Amino acid sequence: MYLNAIEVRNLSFSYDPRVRTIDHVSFDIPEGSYTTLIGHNGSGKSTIAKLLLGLLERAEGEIRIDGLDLTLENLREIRGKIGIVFQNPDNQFIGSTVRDDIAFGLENHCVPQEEMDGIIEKFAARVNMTEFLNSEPTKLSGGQKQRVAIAAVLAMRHKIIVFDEATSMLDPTGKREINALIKGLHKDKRLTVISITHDIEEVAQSDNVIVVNKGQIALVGTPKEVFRNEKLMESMQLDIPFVYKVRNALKKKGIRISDELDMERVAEEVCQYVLKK
Amino acid sequence: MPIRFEKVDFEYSPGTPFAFKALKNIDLELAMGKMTAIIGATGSGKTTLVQHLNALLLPTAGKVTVLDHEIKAGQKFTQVKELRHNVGLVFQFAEYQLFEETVLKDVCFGPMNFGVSEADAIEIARRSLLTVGIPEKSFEKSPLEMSGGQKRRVAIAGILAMKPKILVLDEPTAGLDPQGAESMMELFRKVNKNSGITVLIVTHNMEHVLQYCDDVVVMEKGELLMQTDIETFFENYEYMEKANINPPAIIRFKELLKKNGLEIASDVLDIDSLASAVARRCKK
Amino acid sequence: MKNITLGQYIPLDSFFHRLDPRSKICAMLAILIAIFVPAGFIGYGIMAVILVRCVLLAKLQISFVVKAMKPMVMMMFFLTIINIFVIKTGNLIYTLGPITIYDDALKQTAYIVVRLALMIMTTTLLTATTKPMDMTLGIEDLLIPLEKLKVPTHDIAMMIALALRFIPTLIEEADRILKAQASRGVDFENGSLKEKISAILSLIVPMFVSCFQRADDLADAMEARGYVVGAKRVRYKQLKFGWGDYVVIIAANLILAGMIYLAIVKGS
Repeated sequence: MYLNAIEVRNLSFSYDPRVRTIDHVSFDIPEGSYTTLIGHNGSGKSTIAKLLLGLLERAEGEIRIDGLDLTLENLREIRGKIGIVFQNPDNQFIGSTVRDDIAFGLENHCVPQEEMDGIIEKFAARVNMTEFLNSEPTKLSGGQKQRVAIAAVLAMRHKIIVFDEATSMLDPTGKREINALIKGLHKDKRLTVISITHDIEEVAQSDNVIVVNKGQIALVGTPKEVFRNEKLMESMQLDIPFVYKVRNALKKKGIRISDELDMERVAEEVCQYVLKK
Repeated sequence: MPIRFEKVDFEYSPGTPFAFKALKNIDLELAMGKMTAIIGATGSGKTTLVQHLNALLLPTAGKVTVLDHEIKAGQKFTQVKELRHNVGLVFQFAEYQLFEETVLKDVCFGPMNFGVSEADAIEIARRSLLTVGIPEKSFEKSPLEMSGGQKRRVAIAGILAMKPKILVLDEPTAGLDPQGAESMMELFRKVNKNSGITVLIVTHNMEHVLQYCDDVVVMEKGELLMQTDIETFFENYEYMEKANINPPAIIRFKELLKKNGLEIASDVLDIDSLASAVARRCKK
Repeated sequence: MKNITLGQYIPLDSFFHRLDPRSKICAMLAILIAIFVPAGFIGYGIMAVILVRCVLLAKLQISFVVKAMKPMVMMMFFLTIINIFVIKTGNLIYTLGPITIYDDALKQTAYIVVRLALMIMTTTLLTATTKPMDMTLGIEDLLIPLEKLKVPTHDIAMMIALALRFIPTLIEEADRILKAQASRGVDFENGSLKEKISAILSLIVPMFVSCFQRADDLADAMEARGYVVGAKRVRYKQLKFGWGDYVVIIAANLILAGMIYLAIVKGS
């Protein structure tokens, strides 16, 4: 048993030798947690995700995935433990149909052919795509393609799934679908979810937040802890949730409310405050 | 009215098994000088609608009037070039349209296609690039060296340099981070207010609609569902729920306050005035 | 573009659609060889009858096959003209001023035209009843013997499959870039040579940039899902030979044998 799904120590990486894209980064991600990674575009979030999967070769440092040190030799084993859903729905759809796409990972991991159909159908059902099993990608919406990408990753039975801005190219309906799906997947805490996101509402739902800025970790904590650092967040050009903006505006008027993140509860609290007076 | 759709239909691949009617009987008038949002679910016909504005698509029935150009179904439209000079259309993920070796050259491309001399084009391009926030030192860079957000700004500068009277933007903030999207919207506001360019924005982002736009056009399944000003639009909460539109946070919050017995005036549309309104209620 | 029927897959359900792509490819090769056997018009007549029966069995319309031959019409016409001028053997059948037509010229032309028509019919029968993906699988399996010669058959098949997968996506993308550049005043139809070159560049350069971007993303996605070039994998789609496949292969080879027999009889 390992308590941390991911342990990163002193990780560094550069695309260009003059600039350190990732600069001595260390963090832990507890098993079964839902962690969001935030930071503005170009801060190095996606680079970290690629490093975790061994898609980029680190310059320095250590990465341990589910207790296993990531090295060039055991990449295959590592990729049996950790999967990723990328941003662009089109560019990660490999098969010619939904069925073939889910099969792709199974083929690579040499799952016996006669078991594949069962697995494919099970996970297509998990993401609600059963009726599209034989559809081609051009016939699917962005949200549907991302659901297929999720099914493909689930079919590999990874312990850890990384979502690299998986909803940023989707319309609001697609976003909602995928966010609800991610939340549902994480419900029984058997899966460790790491989500790189700009969606502040999604961040508010997560267990832990890691704030990345200029290739370094600027802040780690629960959403409430992170959002309380309003000045720091602003200096990194990061947004805070609407309810915290309301909270700050009310504070200026001498009205103090708790640090609740749920909008419904905040509304109740404000009303109680006003109507009590 | 400078932009007018009269009974416009548009059908993709008519007469084939793939025929698909993307616009149905659209009657629409848009005033000049405003910033109008065009919203609706994916596949509702937003993009098809705006591509009629510069004759990329021609109506299969009805008539489109843009400025003094008339595009009638079934008639050859001859003023394509003049129209495209007047209506700048920025596509989704516009950064993919860059192709010249330098940023400056790429921005010059549009105006020079419309017959502007090279010297004048360079002058206009420089100004456009500064307007969108690209610094002088980047002018001679290759567009490929720039970040995603900057590339998109260059692409937008390329359209602004054509000096259009109408600027049409198809999901201009898709894929940008929230701060990047915000400053992009600020830019469009600046263009709209300072230069008086009519701005049409196809968007899914209701926060942007609320903060930056004057009017809203709602599309659904190829039909025009509603055209109104922002305040009226966001007043009708039930309607938004029914149309599957996720209202901006402040509208949702006001609705929650209302449910809990605290009604806030409909013209309160930003956080500070909301706080003031709450504070006023406390003093009573 | 949409009027070209040559090589287009027609999603129907027929005996031919259900066949294993391998047997269809093998049968097609046998028939193509048979077409080149000089079996005379009787032989071609027999083949034409059989192929038309096959087209009907595949639930395709004869008009579809005829349409597929359309691009060849011009070629056939020129061929006739050239043959008339070049071939001066056999009996003189027509004279018009300086132009003389010999019957060998017409015979030769007819031979070529009939062969071309039969070939188009055969290949159309294959492509119209086989999904591009299945065709790739069939080719991959048939090429397996070449692995011993270090030919990377699986990698080749993967490349073809990915190309097929991305063609529609790239067509959509090209359309978008085309429209974006048209909005910037590019005229793709008219203009001087210099303008035309710049117009084409404005389409091609962005397409390249976007293709490289996609290829990068795709490589990451494939690698993350455990794909290693050249590594052993288990293929999900297994092709299965049925009785129909044996019938088709035997039938095709019988036709080939029959044509060879006819050619020998005719020659002796």
